[in-house]
Amino acid sequence: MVFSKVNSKVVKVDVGAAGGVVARTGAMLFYTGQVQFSPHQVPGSQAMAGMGGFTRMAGRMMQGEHERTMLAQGQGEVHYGHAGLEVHVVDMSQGGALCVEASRLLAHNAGLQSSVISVTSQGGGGGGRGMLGALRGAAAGALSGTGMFTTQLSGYGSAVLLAHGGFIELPVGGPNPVFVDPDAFVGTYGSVQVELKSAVGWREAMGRGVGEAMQLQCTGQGIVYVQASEEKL
Amino acid sequence: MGRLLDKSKKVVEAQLAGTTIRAIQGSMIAYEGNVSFKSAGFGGGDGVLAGMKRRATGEALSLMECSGHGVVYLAVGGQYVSVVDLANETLQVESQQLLASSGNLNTNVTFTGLRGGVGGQGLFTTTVSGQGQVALLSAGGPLIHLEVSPQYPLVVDPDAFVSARGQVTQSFVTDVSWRNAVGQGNGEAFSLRWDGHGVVSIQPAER
Amino acid sequence: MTAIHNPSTLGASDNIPDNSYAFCIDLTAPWFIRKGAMIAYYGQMQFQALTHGLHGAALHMVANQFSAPLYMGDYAVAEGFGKLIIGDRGYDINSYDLDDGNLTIRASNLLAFEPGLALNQSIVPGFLTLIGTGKFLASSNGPVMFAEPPLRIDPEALVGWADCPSPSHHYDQGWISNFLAAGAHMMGINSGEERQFDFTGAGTVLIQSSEKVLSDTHVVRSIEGQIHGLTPSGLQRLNGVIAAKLAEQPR
Repeated sequence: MVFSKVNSKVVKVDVGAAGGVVARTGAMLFYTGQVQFSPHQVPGSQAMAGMGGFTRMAGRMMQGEHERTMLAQGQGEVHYGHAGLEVHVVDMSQGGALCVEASRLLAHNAGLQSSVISVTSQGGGGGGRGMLGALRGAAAGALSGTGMFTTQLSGYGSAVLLAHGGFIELPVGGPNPVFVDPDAFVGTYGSVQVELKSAVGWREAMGRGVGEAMQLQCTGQGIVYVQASEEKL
Repeated sequence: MGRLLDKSKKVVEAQLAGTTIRAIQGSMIAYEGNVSFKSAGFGGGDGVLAGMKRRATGEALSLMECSGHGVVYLAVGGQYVSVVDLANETLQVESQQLLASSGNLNTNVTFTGLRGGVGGQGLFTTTVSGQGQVALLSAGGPLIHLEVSPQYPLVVDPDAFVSARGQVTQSFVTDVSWRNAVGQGNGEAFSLRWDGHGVVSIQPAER
Repeated sequence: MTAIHNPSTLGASDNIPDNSYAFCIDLTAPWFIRKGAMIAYYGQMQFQALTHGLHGAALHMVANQFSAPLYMGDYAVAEGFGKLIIGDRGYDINSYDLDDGNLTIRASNLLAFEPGLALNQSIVPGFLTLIGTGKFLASSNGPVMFAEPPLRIDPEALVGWADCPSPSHHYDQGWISNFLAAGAHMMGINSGEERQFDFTGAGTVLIQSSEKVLSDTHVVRSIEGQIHGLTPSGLQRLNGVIAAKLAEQPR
């Protein structure tokens, strides 16, 4: 496994052995050895021309902006963690596809292909993820600020997820679909279709008070990661 | 009876087989099966107090009833959870720390008044009685259970207090020494002293 | 239900069993504890503020051992006998023993210490130095990791260090030149990676699991303490930097 968990909030990685590590900006806690950090751009992230992945305008972070990432290379060991959140290492040594809210992705080895699906780009007919992004944009008001970007990772390696309060993993593929509170939704692994649904009667479950409440319906085959908190990151 | 289990340190799993549980509104993070969710008021003690509760604490005490056939997963703000079995006894718990209770338990919320507290915390206590299960929330770490007996009276920071069971009585102690221990602005002006026979549970982080 | 504790099951000073977020001090002699850290106690205890009202042995002890004027308001002396249970915002709490040693620790991570240790205010803003022999309790965001220099660390992940020289700043030159090339530097953009503390020498560095410090009133206080040394133009400049930082906060 590329990343090893040091404790519930920290992972460490041998940057050379991993072939480079892409991580969320500011997540580096400490490192030993000769490691170089440089800005990294994820294809598909909204980028200002010539600015790489840095879309911060005059110091203001735009709401829902794709999290900036950095590439670490060289020979050394880096420890990563973020905001005291709990970490979870996803083993992708057998390949597969991981879809996760950009704000909940801590790091992954550079060999994984990553792309960002934003609200404005329709992912075509390909699965529920593009649709999720578009639907989420449409219902952005109702969901009060859930991220507008979803990162897709595929290939071989491993990735580290973040959650407030840790995760539970729920298998998708049984007789019933799994419904998830969008604020607790972290991501999926495998071939899971995620659709935004609304219904009266969910309002109480969600504590929204007024208006229709939305849930994410997960079907297909795989795993859905749910965090133990409705706090948005 | 809806069965409550610890799914993880911070998530409670409620298994429903044609049964009901009551839980804090908005605490559902995921579910499977045929489950319906309905508003369930404040868990007792309604009427005159209902309006006051709503104004004072907003959503915090609103409860929902989950019923049907399926599994519901509950969590609140990454707090630790603890399922407790009640065998025909009474449990007093800070209302906002009571995550869920099996449908057949009797719950009653009382307004304990503004005890000089800051920000309206800890105004409500829920008394749960009967036979069944409850799920408690603990902020900052797992619940700590402390025995109370005539030999071992206990003094507790009210912002750390979660629940008490058994034949115990509480008294409010205001003294300068306590104020020195908690500092200004952050803590309550009084401490809670427990006497009798029973168990008091506290959480590592103050509300 | 898990274990139920009482004064006889809670033995010597240690974490509450299976709970790294709470600690039980077996109080038999006075301890300095941070105000607000106490969540419960068994026994007979008195808490005294350090700033006034002390006399006799307690006053003598504070006068000799507590040399950190900026922080006096944050601590109290716990005296008496019993079991004192401590918690701090859900942070991990651990006890450490210093044996004729020295350790510099971020003030907001220091929870309690025995008076055999002398406390001094470090010139590194927000940090305190403990010297001598005795036990102290530190809280941290996530478990503490120990590492030996040479290493570079995000300043906010730093809890403290023992024996090795104080750290120096390290500016990642490669990082800066990337910024300049992209013109991003002109926009005042910074990510947090370019400012690191560099540790060398022989010793131990204590690191917490987060680069985010929930609240660091001590640094703020230390900055406030230095403000009256500034000229009007210095103050205006500081004002501008603070305004820019505030504008940058998400939402």
